[in-house]
Amino acid sequence: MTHAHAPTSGADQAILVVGGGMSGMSAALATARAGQRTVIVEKSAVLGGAMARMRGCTPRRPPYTDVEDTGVAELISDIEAHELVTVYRNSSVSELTAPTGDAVTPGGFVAKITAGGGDDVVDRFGAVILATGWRPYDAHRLGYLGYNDHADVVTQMELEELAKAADFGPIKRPSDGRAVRSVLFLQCAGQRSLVEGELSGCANHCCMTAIKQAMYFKDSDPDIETTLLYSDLRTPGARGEQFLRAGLRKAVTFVRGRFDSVVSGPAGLIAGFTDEILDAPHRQTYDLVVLATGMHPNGIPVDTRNNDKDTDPEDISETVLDAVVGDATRQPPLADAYTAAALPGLPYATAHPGIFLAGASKQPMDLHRAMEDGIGAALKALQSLSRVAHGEGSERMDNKPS
Amino acid sequence: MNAADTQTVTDTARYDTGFLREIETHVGQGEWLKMCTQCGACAGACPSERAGGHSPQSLFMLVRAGQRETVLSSGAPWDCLSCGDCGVQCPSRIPVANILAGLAHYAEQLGLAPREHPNRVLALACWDNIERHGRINEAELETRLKFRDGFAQGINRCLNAKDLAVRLIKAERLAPKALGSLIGLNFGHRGVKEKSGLRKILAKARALEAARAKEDGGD
Repeated sequence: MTHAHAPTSGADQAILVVGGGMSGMSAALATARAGQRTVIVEKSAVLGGAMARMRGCTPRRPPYTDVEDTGVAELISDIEAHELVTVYRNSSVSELTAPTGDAVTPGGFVAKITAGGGDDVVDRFGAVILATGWRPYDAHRLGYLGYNDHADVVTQMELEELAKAADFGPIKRPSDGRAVRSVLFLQCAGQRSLVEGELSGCANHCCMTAIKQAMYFKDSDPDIETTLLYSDLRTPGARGEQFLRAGLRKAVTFVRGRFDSVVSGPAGLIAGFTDEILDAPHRQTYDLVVLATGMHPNGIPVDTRNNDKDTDPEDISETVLDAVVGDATRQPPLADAYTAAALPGLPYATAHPGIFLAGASKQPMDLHRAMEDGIGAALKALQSLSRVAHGEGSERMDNKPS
Repeated sequence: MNAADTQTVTDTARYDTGFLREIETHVGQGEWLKMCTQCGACAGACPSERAGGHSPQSLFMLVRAGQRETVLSSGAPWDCLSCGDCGVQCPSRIPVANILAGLAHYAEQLGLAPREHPNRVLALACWDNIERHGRINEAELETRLKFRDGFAQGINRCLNAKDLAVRLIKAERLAPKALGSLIGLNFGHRGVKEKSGLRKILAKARALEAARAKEDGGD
């Protein structure tokens, strides 16, 4: 080392990324490209996370009018080609020990990585990025929308799988394999709701996702009837505005209203809704009903206010959680499960220095934001390493009242 | 709109693109209608809405709801003053007033327009007048409108309007002698010089319109 304060690539300077979805891979690629050894621990057998199950994504590039490729394959091949990145698939971080206490020194993490069917690996890291992603809200709770009784009521995520299986051919309805000729998108299903047990927050991406999915149908056959029932459309920015107009141009039928019920009828599903512009109730038969259910974070306690660490044990260990959440009672209560392990004003930091959050485990967000967020978390992790090399403490939020 | 309207049509109407496509084919600039985001700016701008009909916004929503009869028999396109403020306010730049005029025209072609709507009666009387003279003969137009429901009604309406008529005559804005045209005479009103030429122009326009309708229908 020629300079006393230059970052090193020694054992303590490696970066651990938990989760190999789009935000985790973006973070890992950024830290590796900055010259740091990076380890991705992915619980499933494949990289790509939720996005790997999707057929397409909302547009990245102007004029923001068409469905684009997700870019998952490209990102995976970049990750696999990078010599500084190691990927553990079918694996989880079973233990993460970190220096704790008041005189905390960032870095110095020791992680035990448990691989499915293999030996445990113990490694040392200077910073940790948690990018554990999300899972859909449990649509079984939406019995009144027919989810429990009818195979043709699907979530947006399930439609992605149907679309992917169709491989640009006609999308078929699950009940009898007949090609879908009419589809109804119900926005805000079980979210932005005041009903107990449903989510009060907005998952951020579903209006854009529904327009994208309507385009799956319209692009394959413009005569397929696509109706999108919304209470208010949230498609912000130039990108959102242009994409909404592209949906209108493709004659997606946008209806502002409230849904009441989905039941089975002689020719398909009968959806009941009220058109809020015409103030008129209506019932109509559809081949497929798609529910825009909310997002639920992986690896973050459902409700830190009650200290309820209801989390998927596969995602992340209790020790990691304790380190991330810290003194949970001091966290500001936010909507739903997203009780903000991330701290206000410090978008990537957690209560523990050197551990950073990225992507939809922290806040509901779409692919594009998750990728940017991964790069942001990577920057904070690198900054943290650099501060340690300079002999300073890393950025943290002091949770104690002054 | 009132509840009775919706209840009767909802049973058969469907939210789909069927009626939208029909309008795109048959109504001038109808291809813009699908761009409506239902923001309601046109409804706020429209000075005719307080007459009690549908706002442009609800007319466009009725199209989406597939309520063909309601839209084509609505008085709203005939209430339109063509002030154009709806189009000025529209964030999607939809030529709203032009589409309303197109809807009125299409409804008239189909025989679904509201027969007794006063603006329809006036519009047809104006057109008849222009077709015969090449320009408006106001005295004749007014007299025909006043007598459209029979002689006794006509006399009654004329007596009601006599003070205004006298003032207009004194101000030389109304020429009683122009009424000669009612009995085929021309004392003072001058139509266009070459009426045969005008008739040729109109015949040609009708032929073009019919040809286009035939072409659209064959799609």
